[in-house]
Amino acid sequence: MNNACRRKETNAPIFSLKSHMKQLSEENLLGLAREYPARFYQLEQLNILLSSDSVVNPPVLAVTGQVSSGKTVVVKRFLKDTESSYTWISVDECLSIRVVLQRITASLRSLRKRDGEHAAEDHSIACNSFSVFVEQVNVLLSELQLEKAHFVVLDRIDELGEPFDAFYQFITKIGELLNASPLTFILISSTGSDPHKSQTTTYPHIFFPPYTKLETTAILCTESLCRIRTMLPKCANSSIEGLLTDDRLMSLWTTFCQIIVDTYFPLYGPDIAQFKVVIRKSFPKFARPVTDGSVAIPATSKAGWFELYKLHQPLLSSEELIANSLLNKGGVSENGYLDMPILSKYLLCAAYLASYNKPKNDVKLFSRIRESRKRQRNSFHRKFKDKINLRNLAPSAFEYERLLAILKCVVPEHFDSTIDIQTQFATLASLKLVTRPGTNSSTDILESRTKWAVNVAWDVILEISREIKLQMDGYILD
Amino acid sequence: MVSLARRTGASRSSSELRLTSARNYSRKRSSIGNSAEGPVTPTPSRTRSARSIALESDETDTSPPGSPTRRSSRNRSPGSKVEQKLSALKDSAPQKRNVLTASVAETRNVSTSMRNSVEGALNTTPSKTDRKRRHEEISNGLADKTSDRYFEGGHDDADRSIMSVVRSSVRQGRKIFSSLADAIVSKKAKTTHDPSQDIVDSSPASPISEISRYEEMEDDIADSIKDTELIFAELEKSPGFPSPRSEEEKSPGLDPPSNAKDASLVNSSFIQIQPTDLQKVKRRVLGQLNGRLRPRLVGLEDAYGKIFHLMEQTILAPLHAAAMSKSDSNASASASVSLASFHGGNSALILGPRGSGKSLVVDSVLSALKAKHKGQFITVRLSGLAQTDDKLALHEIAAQIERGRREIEAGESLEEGTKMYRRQSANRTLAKLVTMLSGRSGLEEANGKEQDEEGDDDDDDDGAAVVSVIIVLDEFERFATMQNRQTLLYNLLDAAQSPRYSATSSNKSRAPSMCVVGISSRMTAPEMLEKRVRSRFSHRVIVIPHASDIDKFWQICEAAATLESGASASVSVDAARAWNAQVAELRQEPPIERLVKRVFATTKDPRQVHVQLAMGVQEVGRLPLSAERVTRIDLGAVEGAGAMERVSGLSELALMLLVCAARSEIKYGRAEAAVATDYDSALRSVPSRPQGSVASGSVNFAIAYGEYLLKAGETRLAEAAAGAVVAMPFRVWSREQAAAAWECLEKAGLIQGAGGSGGLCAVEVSLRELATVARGAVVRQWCRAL
Repeated sequence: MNNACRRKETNAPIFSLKSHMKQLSEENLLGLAREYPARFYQLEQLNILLSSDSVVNPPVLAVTGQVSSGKTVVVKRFLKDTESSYTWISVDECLSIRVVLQRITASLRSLRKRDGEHAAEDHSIACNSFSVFVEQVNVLLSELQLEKAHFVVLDRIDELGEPFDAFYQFITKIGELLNASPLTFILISSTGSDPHKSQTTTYPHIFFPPYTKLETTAILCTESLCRIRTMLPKCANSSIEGLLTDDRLMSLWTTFCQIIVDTYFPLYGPDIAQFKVVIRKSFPKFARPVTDGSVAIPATSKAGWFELYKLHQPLLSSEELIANSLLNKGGVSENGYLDMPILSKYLLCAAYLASYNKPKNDVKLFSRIRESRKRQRNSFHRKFKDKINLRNLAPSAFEYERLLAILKCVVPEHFDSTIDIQTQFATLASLKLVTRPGTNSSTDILESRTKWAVNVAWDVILEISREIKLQMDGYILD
Repeated sequence: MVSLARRTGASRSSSELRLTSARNYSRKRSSIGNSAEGPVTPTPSRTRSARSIALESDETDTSPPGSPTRRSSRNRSPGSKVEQKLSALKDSAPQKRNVLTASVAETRNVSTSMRNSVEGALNTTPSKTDRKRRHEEISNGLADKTSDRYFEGGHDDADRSIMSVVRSSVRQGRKIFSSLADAIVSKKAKTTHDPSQDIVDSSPASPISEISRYEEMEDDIADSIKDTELIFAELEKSPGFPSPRSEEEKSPGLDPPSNAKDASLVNSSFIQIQPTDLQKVKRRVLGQLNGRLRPRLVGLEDAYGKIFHLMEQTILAPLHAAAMSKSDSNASASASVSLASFHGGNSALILGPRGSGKSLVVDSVLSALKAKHKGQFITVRLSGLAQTDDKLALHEIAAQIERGRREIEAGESLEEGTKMYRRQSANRTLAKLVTMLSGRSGLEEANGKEQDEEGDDDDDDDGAAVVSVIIVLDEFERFATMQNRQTLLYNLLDAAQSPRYSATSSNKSRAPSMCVVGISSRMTAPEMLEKRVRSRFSHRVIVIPHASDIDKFWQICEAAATLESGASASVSVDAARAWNAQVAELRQEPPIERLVKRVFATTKDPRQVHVQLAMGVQEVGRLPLSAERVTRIDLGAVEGAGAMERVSGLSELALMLLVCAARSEIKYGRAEAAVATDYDSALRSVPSRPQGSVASGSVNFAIAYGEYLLKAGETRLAEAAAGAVVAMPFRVWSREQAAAAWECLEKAGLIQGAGGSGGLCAVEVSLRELATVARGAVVRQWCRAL
C-alpha cells in the first residue's frame, strides 16, 4: 500500500462504525429534501432500499447521474443521518484496481481494530487480485462478525485510472462470491453507469436526473449568510455596512445568483460545481459598487438591480469570469504576436502553407505563370465546394526542402540571405511550433527524409501574417 | 366437548378472521356485482365500515349488527348452534368425533399463544386516525398526490384481493357457493342498499349446505392434525377455499367481546398479517428477492434431479467401493458394472442464459447434500470472475480443499495444508493436487523432478480420510479462455474421469472421488474446450432454458417473493399463506402485468422483476403491498444510459456543438456515413468500435466549431433582421469555452473515437434524433435546416 493511501486512512474519516442504523422518518426525509432541492425521490429510494438489516439490503446498488447532480453529497448525507456503518472510498484517488481492493480490505481491517482487538496487521499478502480479495474479505468478515449491514461506497467508480469493465462486473457479482456478507456495495458513477451500457440490470439503480435551471438557481441561493459576508469586499464606510442588513444581503445574493445562472446556464448547463467557481470569482466584483456606496441597495424596487446589472454587463458579456486558463490570453505581448524574429514568422507561415497545401498545387500557387494559376483556381473553387475546409483538419507533413522552396516564394526579395535559416527552424521545432508527426520521435532529425508539420492554428497564423504583411489568402486554396 | 370446539374456533379466529371476513365481504360484493343495483365502487370509508361489519356478521351469524351491549348476548347464539351441529354429527359419525376431539386438543395449545400475539400486534399497530393524519401531513408537505395514493391504494388493494378470492372460489365451482350466492341475490332484491344488511344476508341460509360445510370442516381439521404443512400447501394451491374456515370462524363469538373488537380493528387496517409476523415474512422475502437467501425452485426439478444424482453418486462412490472391497475381494462382473456408473466421467456442464437459475440449482443441491451427507465431501467453488488465471484458481482449489478437510477433521492441525497453497509455485501445487485428486503416481514420475515431493505427499496423505471433492466452476467459459492452454481444465477433467476404486487397485489408491460441474451462460462453452480437454469431458450437458411462457415466468418471479412452507420456522403458516395470496394477486394488476410482459419480452431475467418487487416489499410495513408501489420507480432499467438521455443533460452550448457536429457529419461525411440510418448510429456501441480507432469518424472540434460559428452568424443575422427586442440575445461563445463543452461531449460518450489532434471522430446520435429532444427554438431550427 502506498503512502498516500495510508495517510488517507489515518487522517480522513473514511469509515464510521455505528451501533445500528436507523431508518429515516418522513419528517427527517422532508427536512433533507428541503436541504437538497429536487432530491426527495432519490432520498426516499435510498431510505426504502437500505436498512440496518443486511439480509434485506441488496448486495449492490448503483447510483448514477450526470456530473454534479448531487449523488455523492446525497448518499453521504443519507449514510450519516441514518448513522449507518460505512466505508467511503473515492475511486478517482486510487490509481488502479489493486489500490481500490486494498483500500476496501484495509478499511474492513480497521473496523476490526476499532472493536478493541489489536491484532497485528497482516500486510504480508498484498491484495493484488480478485481471488485474494474475495478470500481476504471472507476471512475478515468471519472475524468481524458484523451484525448490522455495512456499506462500502465506491465513489466515482468511472474515474478509475484504468479500464474497469472487469472490476465493475466483479463488484456487481460479488454478492455471489462472498458467503453471507453483510456488505452492500454502493457504486456511484456519472457516465451512464455500466461500462457495458446496458439498459437493464439485475441490481437496483437510483438515477439522479440533471437539475433544471430553476433548481440550479435554488441550490446556489441556499448559501449561508456568513459565507456570503466573507465573500463580500470591505465596505467603504460603516454607514453602508449598517445598511447591509441580512435581508438586503440575501436579496443581493439571490439576484446575483439569478443573473449568473441566466448568463451562464447555456454554457455550463446544470453543472453546480462550475457555477460555484464562477460565483466565488465574481461576487466580490459584483458587490463592489454596493460596498463602495455607488449603488444603493434597493429595498424593493427593481430599478436598483437593473442599475447594478447594467454596471456589470460588460463583465458578464465578456468571458473574463469564465476563463479556463490562468495564463494571459494567447501570450500576446505589446510588441505584437509572439516575440520572435521576422524570419521565424515567415518560416512559420511557410510551414503552414506547406502543411495545408498539397504538393501538386505548389506550381499553381507559387509559380509566377499567371494564366495557369487563374484558370486552375476557378476550377478548384467549384470542386472544393462541399469538401471540408482543410484548415480544420490535421496538418499534413512536408519535407524540409519544400519548406525552403515555399519560403523563397513568400519572403520579400530584399531579405538578407545570410540569416541562418536552419537555426531558426530548429528553434521553432524546439518550441514545438513545428513538429514531426508520427509517434516514433526517436528517428534521426538530420535524416533527409524527415518530415515536418506545422503545429499552429489558423487564427494565430493569420495574426502573424498580418504583422509581417503577408497575404496568406493568395497562397492557400480554400 | 363444546368448550373444546370453541377453543378451536378461537385459535383459528385470531389469525384467519380477517381472511374470512374478507371472503364474506367478497361474497357480498359478488352478489352486488350480479344485481344491477349494487354500487360499483364504494367509497373507502364505506368499504371499511362494510368490512368491519362483515366481521361482526361472522360472529353474530344471522342477527343484524347493533350496539355492543346487544352483541354480547348475541355472541352466544352461534356457539349453541355449533353445539347442536356437533351433537348431530356425533350421532351420525362417531369416528369423526374422535378426530375432531383430537384436533381440538391439538389446536388448543396454539390458541393461547395466537391470541397473545394478536393482542401484542394490536398494541403496536397505530390507529387508523393516526395513520391518516400522518399521510395527510406528508401529502401536504410534498404537495403531490403520491401519499394520498398510498392511502387510497390500501382500499383498492383490499378490494382487489377480495375480488380475486371471489374469482378463484367461483372457479372452484362449489355448489354451496352458488346456492349461497343465489340466496344472497334473492335477499338482495328485497333488502335496502345498506352494506351491513348485505353482509348479514351473506351468512349461509340452507341447512343442507351448512351440514356439508360441517363435514368439510371436519375433514379440514383432520388434515390439520396430520400435517399443518399439508394444509398450507393445499390452500396455497386454492387460495379461495371457501367454506370450512368461515364456518369455524363463527366460534370466536364465544370469546370475550373485547377480543373480537380487537380483531375487527386489525381487519380494518391495511396490514392483513400481524406486524411481528410481517417483519419476519418481509425479511425472508427480501432476502430471497435480493439473492441473499435461496428461493424455491420452479421449473428446475429436472436439472435438480440430474445434478443431485451426479453429486450424490460421487459422494457415495468411496462408500460403495469400501463396501465392495470388504464383501468380495474378487469383484464379480455385475458389481463392476454397477460401479462403472459411478466413475463414468464425473463431470457436467450446466448451460443456460443469465438469470435462468443455474447457480441456484447447484446451491440447492449442495445444501441438500450437506444436510444429507455431512462431512463426507468437500465443496470447492471457483468463479471465473474472481480466479482470473490458472495459478489463482489452483491456489484457491488447494486452499478450499484444505479448509474443507480442516472442517471435517475438526481439530487436527494440518500444517501441510497451509504449506500446500502458500509459498509454493503453481507447478508444485498443481502436481500435488493432481496426485491427490487422481490418485495416480504416473504423472509425477513423468515429470521427473517432482518425485521427491510425491513421496512427501503420500506420507502426508496417509493420515487423512478419503472424502469426495465436488468442484464447481462458475463462469466456466472464463476458465476455458484463460491462457495456459486450458491446463487447469484438462487436469481437473482428467482427474475426474480417471478410473478409480477398481477392484485391482482399490487397496492402493486413496484418491478421493471427485466431480467437476461447470456453470456457464455461454451456450457454446463445450465447443470452447480444446480437443484433448473435450475428450476428457463427459459430455453431460444440462441445459436450463428460460421460462417458455409468461405464466411460467411469473411463477419463477413469484417464487422468490413468496414463502415456501417451512422455509422459516418462525413465520406462522397462516401469515405465510396470507402473504402468498397477496403476492399471487399482484399478477392481476395491470402495472405488474405490464412489467412482467416487458421483462419476458426483453430479457426474461426474473431478477429484474425481483428488483421491482423488492421495492414494493420494502415498504410493506408502512403501506400495503400494491402494484403501484412495486412499479412506481423503475429500478432495474438504467436511466440515463441511453445516448438520448445523456443528451438531455447537456448544456446549451454542448448541445449546439453536438448538433453542428451531426450537421457537418452529414455535410462533409463520406457517402456511407450520410446514408446510415438513425438507429445504426444510435446503437453503435463502444465494444464494437475499439477506442482509438479513428477511421470511422468524419468530424473534429474545428469542423464542428466552424459550423457552430456559421450557424451562430445566421441566427444573429436573423435576430437582427427580425428587429424584435430579444430578451436574451443569442450569445456566441469563444473557442475556448466550446472546447470545454466538446470535452463534455467526449466524456459523455456522445462523440467517439477522438484520438489526438486532428483525429476525426464520429457523432453517436443523428440529427433527426437530436431534433426530438432539443429544447429551445434555436437548437431545433439548427437541427432542421441543412
